[in-house]
Amino acid sequence: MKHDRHFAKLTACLCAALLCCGCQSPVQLKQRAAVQGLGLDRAGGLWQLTLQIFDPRGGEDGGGEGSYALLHGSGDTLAAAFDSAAVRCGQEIFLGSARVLAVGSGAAVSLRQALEYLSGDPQVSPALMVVQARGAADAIFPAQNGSQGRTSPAGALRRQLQLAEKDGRLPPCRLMDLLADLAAPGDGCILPLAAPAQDGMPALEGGAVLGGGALRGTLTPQQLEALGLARRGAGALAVSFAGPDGQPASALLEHFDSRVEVQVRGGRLHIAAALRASGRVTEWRAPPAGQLNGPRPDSLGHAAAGLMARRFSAALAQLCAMGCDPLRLADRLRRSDPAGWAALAAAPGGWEAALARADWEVQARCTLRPR
Amino acid sequence: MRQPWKRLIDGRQLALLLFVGRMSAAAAWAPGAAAGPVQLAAQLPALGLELGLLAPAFWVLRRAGRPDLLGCARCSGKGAGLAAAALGWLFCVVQAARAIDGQARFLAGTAGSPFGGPGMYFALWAVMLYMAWLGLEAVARLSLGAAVGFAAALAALGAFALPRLDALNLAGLLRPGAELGRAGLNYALDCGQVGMAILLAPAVRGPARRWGAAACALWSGGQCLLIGLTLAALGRFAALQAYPVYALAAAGSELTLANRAGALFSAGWMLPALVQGAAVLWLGAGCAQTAVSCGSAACFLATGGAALACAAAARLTGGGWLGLAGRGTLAAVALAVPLLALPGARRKGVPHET
Repeated sequence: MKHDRHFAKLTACLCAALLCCGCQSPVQLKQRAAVQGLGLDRAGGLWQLTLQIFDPRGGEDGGGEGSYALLHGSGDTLAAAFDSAAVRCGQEIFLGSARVLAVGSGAAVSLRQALEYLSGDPQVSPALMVVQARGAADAIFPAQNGSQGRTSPAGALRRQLQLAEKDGRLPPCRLMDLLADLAAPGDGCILPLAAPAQDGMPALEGGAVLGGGALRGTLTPQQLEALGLARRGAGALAVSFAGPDGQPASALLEHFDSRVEVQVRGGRLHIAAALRASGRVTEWRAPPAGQLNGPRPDSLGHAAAGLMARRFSAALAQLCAMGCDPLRLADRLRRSDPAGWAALAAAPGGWEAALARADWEVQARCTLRPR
Repeated sequence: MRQPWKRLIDGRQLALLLFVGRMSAAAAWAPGAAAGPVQLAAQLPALGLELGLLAPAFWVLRRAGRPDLLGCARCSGKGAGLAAAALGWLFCVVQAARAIDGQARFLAGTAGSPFGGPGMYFALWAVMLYMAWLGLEAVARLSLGAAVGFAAALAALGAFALPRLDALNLAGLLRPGAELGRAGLNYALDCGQVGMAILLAPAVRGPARRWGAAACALWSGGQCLLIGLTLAALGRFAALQAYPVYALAAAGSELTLANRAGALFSAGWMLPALVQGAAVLWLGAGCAQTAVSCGSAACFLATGGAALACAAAARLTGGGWLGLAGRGTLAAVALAVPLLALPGARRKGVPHET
């Protein structure tokens, strides 16, 4: 009993101490700039920083999601840029609430450096979502005006990213994913590409391929979807294609399975991808109506599989030409054929040259059931 | 000389206490750039080495027919008894200092530098000393709560990590090599719980040897699970993080309650470390009482003071030597103390002090 009383006291003291730990060196809410989204760019050797911060006084719905203000800062280093923004607003910058980072085209060269800086900050979540801005990063964060409704640029962008991630239309674009990609052989990654839409709010437009510290090219949303086929285990993907008789059809794919194997054949890299998907027909306007309940979904499945294979091949061709390896082909080869990997890595041009010369075959199978 | 410990806890409590202590170290796992599949594979040789470190002491205890290694050393001679108790005390002081220093560094590295200040060292030390003063039974009971909390946290971590697991991140897992052996040796020598299992044997009701070995298997399994999950989910990102398990938990806690309860989130890390620190402080005070016949309060203060001084010195000097001291004292407890106790274990008819 005596020990139980001691325990009760100890637990109460611990809880009190832990819950009050924020009382040490406190920062009042009004002195804290809670960052919702960041824009990073580089121009003239200086880091340009745009911060969207929560502003309870601003906007039509003061205190709502659309209440935000923009802060700008610049400096030789990222730390100096953050300091400059803090000095301008007279508040302490709090990055713990940041959920989206937009990297401008000028900062693409220093992406790894910027991500490592942010990763070293205990406030920044490893799950921070990163996008590549088409053009300058500050264009992603338009100043608030009455016509923009009740949302903020960071909020709108984050919602689109989450939706795309859920549907498998997005490459892994969290801070932790990108740093892992940039540490891999080939030093490349794919970022979602964002640009201002007509209403001023940012919208996703496909993907940007970065490698060797440069922006190497872009991918269409369809190509991103096709790459997602090789990664995804669950989710849903709507595809539209031409049916066997040329009539438009669409299906919702729900179950995915993929197998990608890499080998070295005659000194060349050979990629074999087997994609499997199953789902249901959602629309098919082939005359006569009502045949969907018959055996036709098989032939629709072949058509959908053909589309998957074509899109995947096109995306793979583009990525190999750009020397980007989002399917972790290097890791797969290193695991399955260490000697082959060593030979390719040691050859002139290294892994990137081997990737550019690679040949591949894609097999796709799609099983569709009637609507 | 006094015998401060009676059979205070049972074997299951011992196993749980050691498991929680080891998991506190695993949760603050900091492999740096070495984070890779080899760290997971190294758990197997580490388990073998840990059992190998336990074997001499347990063999001597079995031969003696009693669980008290320090008592056996005392039967070998006064000098041997004093040396064995002193080595045990030194081991406990170093392990307590490592618990304090490691936890303060972990807090500084994750929550921010103010949390690794001198005040945090003192606060951790004070709580550990208070818990140790409550006694081994109390610490063992608290370890049950910590173990339940750890299991819940592991389940939450698993739920987040499961969709992110990628077997490619564990490629080359079973590739043998010198690196694997070195990593296994590092894990085994950093495992202070091996020394605790040896020294805590007289405080355990039931077969301490069997429960000590069971604890060894239990903590190896726990480490495999935690490290495997982290490596398979984070991949190369793990090597870029100071504390990869925390990074995984921080990523997983986004949009969950844990993100809103930062202090309680940190408490999940602190509680097992407090249990570990309190257990070694209690053990150190026991060793001190065995060596010199002084009051328990004086022994607690002497042990606690030495641990705080060691932790403070580690903070000022960088702390690399503390890891080496931990390995040295563990080797001494696992190998030298059984040697000192061996002549005493051969003598028949020595009464078992309780």
